[in-house]
Amino acid sequence: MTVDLRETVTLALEALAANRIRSALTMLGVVMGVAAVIILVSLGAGARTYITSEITNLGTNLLIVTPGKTQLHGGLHPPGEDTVRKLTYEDAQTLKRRATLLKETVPIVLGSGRMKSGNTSRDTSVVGVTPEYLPARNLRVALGSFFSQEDVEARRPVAVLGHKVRLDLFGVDNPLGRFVTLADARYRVIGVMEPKGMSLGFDIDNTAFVPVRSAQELFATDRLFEILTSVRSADGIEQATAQIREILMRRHGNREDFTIVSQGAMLDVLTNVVNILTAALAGIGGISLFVGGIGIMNIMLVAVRERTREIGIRKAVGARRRDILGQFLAEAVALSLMGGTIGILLGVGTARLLPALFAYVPTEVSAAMVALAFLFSAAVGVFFGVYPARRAANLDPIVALRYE
Amino acid sequence: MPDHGTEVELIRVEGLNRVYAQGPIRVAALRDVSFSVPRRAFVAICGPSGSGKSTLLNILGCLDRPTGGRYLLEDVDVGAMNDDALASLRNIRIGFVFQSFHLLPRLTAQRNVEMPMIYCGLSRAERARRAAGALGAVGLLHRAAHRPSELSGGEQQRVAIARALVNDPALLLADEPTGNLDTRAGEEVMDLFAELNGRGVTVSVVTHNPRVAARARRILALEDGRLVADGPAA
Repeated sequence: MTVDLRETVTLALEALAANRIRSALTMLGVVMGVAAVIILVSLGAGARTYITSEITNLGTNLLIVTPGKTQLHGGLHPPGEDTVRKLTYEDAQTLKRRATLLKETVPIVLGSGRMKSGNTSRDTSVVGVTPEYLPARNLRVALGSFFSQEDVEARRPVAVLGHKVRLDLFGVDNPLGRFVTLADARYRVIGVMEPKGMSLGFDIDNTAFVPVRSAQELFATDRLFEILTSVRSADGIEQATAQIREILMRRHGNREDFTIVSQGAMLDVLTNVVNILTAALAGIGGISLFVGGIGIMNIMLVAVRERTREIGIRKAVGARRRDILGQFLAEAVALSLMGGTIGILLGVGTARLLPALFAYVPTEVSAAMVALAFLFSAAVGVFFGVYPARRAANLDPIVALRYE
Repeated sequence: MPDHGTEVELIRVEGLNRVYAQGPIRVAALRDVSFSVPRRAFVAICGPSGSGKSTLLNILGCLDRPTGGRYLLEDVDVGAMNDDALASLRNIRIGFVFQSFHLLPRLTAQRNVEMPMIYCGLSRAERARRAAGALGAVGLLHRAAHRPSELSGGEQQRVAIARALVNDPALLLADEPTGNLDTRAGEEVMDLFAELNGRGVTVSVVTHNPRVAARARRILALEDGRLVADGPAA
């Protein structure tokens, strides 16, 4: 003998329809809250996926050695040790000879300069590497060939151009055998890279590769930017790290004045950052959802007051406490669910639209996220609807009937 | 007390007290009221304002419980029931008619009449059928689709009477049912009560209007919370 669900829903929708504008405005709070949560979380999820794929695309089982001791998880450098000891080409050569667990070992020098060919010129990043760079980073040459280890040792002035560098300097002409000028030094073009695009802010297409020894000469330095290595097998990463540490410390007077970062650690640190950002963003969205919930509670309290007489009448003709409770709770949940549904549509729509409007804004919407948002908006209705509904249910029918 | 012979008893009230406590002040609204009402009776409860007649009506209508004494409706002690049981009792055994009609303005006459049946779980079709029957009984079937604001006061009160009758109650309770109506509409409402009583409905009307009280067959007079007279209408 209880009011059936269909009747409860009908009563709730009728009551909401009686105050269309008020209901719509109240719903808007939930719409905005749910949409904000979905958009912000989808941005976070998109960023996580982007970073994961970018780091995975760097290659497999990479370990990167950089000069200077830094810690990934905060902390200060010990005093007196802030002079960064350099990493040298010889360090890389020693690793290559001795570190048996490593497959590739690539010393890297990073610089930039104005590159000229005839009358055309452009600024370009110049990266000094060894031939092992290609297999380590899964890169390929589209035209001509990459330089050899012999070119590196002999410090030959040869260059392999990124896809866009080639187009800018030579157009569709064959660049092989032509010369480019970098800071008064002439380099012979021997190859062109396959187009690759942006990868973690580094654009292979806008880069020119030269032998690492030639780059050191060009930039007048004996330091390396980093040593990129790849480990033979995924389960050998820890041992390989230890091996690198041991070999380099022996060369550096038993001091650990370098940092070894694994691809996995990079991924962990970056996804950690993204997760924290996502949580913060979701929190901001959650706050607006909370405010939307307060809006529901507010309007339901007004409704209970306005309809005190109605509550008295319903009780007089036989409505029980739980009937009244159910009726007003259903109204609050109907508000939040309708708001939630519209918010989901708005949020998912916006999340889908963002990557189309802005090139580097990846978003990702999952079914679980949508389901969670829906349940959450229902929970908001229940949470913020209970108090007003209880007030309605607890009204004394005699007092309520007399209410003007 | 008048002798009602072998008539079947609907209401028995014994030594009824109702005390309102407002902080340290205690107000006795009913003092030691006892009477009984047989089925098919037409009773008027009269008295000046503040005499306790509304309090008595609330107790008879199961909206309130006495603080002392006993109230038996159909031989069941109402004072021992919990709120939900009282709500069910109001739903299926009692029909209320109020001075200011108390219809829900946003619902049609039909839907207003259907309202009590929502709370006893009747199907939509059955509700519509019974509501149409009740509206027919008060002569307003042709106004079923109108909202209260589109009806005259007399019509609104007849819709309210239809709502009170729709669950076939044992007792029809009216609180100043003509108080917001002009004389003619008031007479029509009282005619309707008399007609319903003639068909076997027990009617109890609370009023301070002697002309309304005169339509009843028995008058209970209250003064300062005490029953001061009980006899047939003049």
